Amino acid sequence: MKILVIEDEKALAGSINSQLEKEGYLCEAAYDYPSGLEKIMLYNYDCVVVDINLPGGDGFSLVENLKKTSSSTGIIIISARNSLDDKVLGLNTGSDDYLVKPFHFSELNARIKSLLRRRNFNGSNEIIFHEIKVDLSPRKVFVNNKEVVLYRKEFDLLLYFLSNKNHVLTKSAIAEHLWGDNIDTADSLDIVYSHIKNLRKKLLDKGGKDYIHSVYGIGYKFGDK
Amino acid sequence: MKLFTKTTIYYILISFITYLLIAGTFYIAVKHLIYKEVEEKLKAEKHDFEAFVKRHGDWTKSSYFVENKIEIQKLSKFDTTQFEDSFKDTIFYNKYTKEDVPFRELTFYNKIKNDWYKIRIRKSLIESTELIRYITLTMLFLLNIGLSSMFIFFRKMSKSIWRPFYNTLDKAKKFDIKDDKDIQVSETQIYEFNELNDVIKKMTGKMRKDYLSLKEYTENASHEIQTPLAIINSKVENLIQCENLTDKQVLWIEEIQNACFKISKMHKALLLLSKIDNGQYNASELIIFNEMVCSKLEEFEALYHHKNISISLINKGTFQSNIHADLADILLTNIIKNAIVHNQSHGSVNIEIKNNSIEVSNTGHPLITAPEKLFERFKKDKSSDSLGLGLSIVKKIADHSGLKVEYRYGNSLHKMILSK
Repeated sequence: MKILVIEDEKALAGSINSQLEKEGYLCEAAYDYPSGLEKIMLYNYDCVVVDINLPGGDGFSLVENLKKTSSSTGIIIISARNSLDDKVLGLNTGSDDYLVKPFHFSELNARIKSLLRRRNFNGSNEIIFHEIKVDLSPRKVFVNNKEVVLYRKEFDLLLYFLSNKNHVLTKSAIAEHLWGDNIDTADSLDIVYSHIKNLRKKLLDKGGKDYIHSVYGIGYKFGDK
Repeated sequence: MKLFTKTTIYYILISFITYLLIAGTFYIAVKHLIYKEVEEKLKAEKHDFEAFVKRHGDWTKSSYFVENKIEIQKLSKFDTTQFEDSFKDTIFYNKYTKEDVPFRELTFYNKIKNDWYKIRIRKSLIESTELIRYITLTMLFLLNIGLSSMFIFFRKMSKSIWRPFYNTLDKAKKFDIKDDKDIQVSETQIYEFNELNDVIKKMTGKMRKDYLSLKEYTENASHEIQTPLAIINSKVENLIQCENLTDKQVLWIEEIQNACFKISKMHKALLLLSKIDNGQYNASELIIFNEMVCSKLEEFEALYHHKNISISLINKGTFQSNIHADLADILLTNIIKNAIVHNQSHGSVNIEIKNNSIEVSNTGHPLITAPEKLFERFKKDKSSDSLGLGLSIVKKIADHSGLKVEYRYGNSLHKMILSK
């Protein structure tokens, strides 16, 4: 899987790339409009993460160019602009997702994974992790082939964990992923806790192992210890 | 008052006064002339009378004087009233025309056959007053024509002279700072108007430049500040993923991250406030709030479930308003979130939507700050983790969109009322 990150802040691009590489992707970075354009014209990527404000040009026109040359590439816009107009414009020019800065890396990671899944399996696919099987198109979860009935948010939470295996997820990142920007109160951390408690219990009830590890009290990590 | 009306009023006032003055002076002059003429004639008649008396020693034979025209009165010997000639106006009744007739009268004294007589001769003024009337009327008529034609000319002229001024005024009225072009004013022949145009051009140009640079600043500030924050955040996340951190270090890291997100949120909120001030949210569409309230409640479901807050939504009518879609969303988010967050567990939130208002009332701890300060920036409970910007954003959006928002407290219920 090849991913191109076009972002003028080298520190941010570097940080995104190093984490994406840990996830097993082949990553490249471009720091301005001309080099970004050159790369998307020359090579094929599975996914391109592009900033809107770039030296030498506008991210939106990069997205348009990309759509013309290779329509199968997934595009995620990352931008500090959070107005609805910009989001609508981004999605209309052909990007698949729009992420407002600053964001949690785990959020970007989850969105890239979901995007790649949709692209590569035409929207119907499964994620298998040991005894856990997640069927994405009917949104069903099986543990040891026994169905686990999850609420919508619990399902989203499990999917988020599976997208960020072995990755420490802070409670605020989880809260923001599940309920968006608007729930940022102290309560949300308790709500995250209760959702995780419920999810863990439901998975254990069907004979699954406990893969959700609490990390130093600041967050959670999903995976084999 | 319009400039035209004002100048017209002055013009009419001044021309009326001039008119009266001219008419008065003219009347007096003509009258003086006529009196002089009549008096000359009376004096001549006096000479004729004296000459006649000298020659004939008597006056009765003369047919020269008829009734009303002469009156002779014998003076007693001892009557030594003044012997001077004098003129005066009198009025006599004319029995033929049956009307009072004005006369000019000359009184003089003469000695006829050793006796002194007081003699009064008169001359009718009727022809003369007639004359005065005709002359005056003709004069007034001509004067009238003169003044009215002056007036019309003056109006026409000031209209054409002031036209550039009104053009400029019109342009200035239509000037919109958000338009892409500078104000366009045409060159005129009048120095002052050209100066005015120049000043307006310079002023609006400067305003537009300032507006654009402020707008650019807010846009850039958004990007420029969020980006370093994103970098801090991503580096902090890298740190969190490290294996061998002590518990304390991880807690510090998390605090850095939370502070970083808080700055980001605060900056976004302040940016929103200044963007509203800048008029970047002036576009509006008809938004039906009822549906929006429902979707907002869904968004906060987790939060109110967690606090065991009961929600009741009563639709008594449809609240709709012309407002920017983003602003409507932010407005409702803040009001509803406020009602849920500042609530106690097992409390309640009641939302009542009518045609003209939305009332959100909620249970909660009594207010510590003064209600009128509630909508100010950074006013919040010390214990609260929020930014203290939510309600000032609510107020700003309401003011901007022509809505009213007020807070009431009663029956241990906090009530936020949004109305048209």
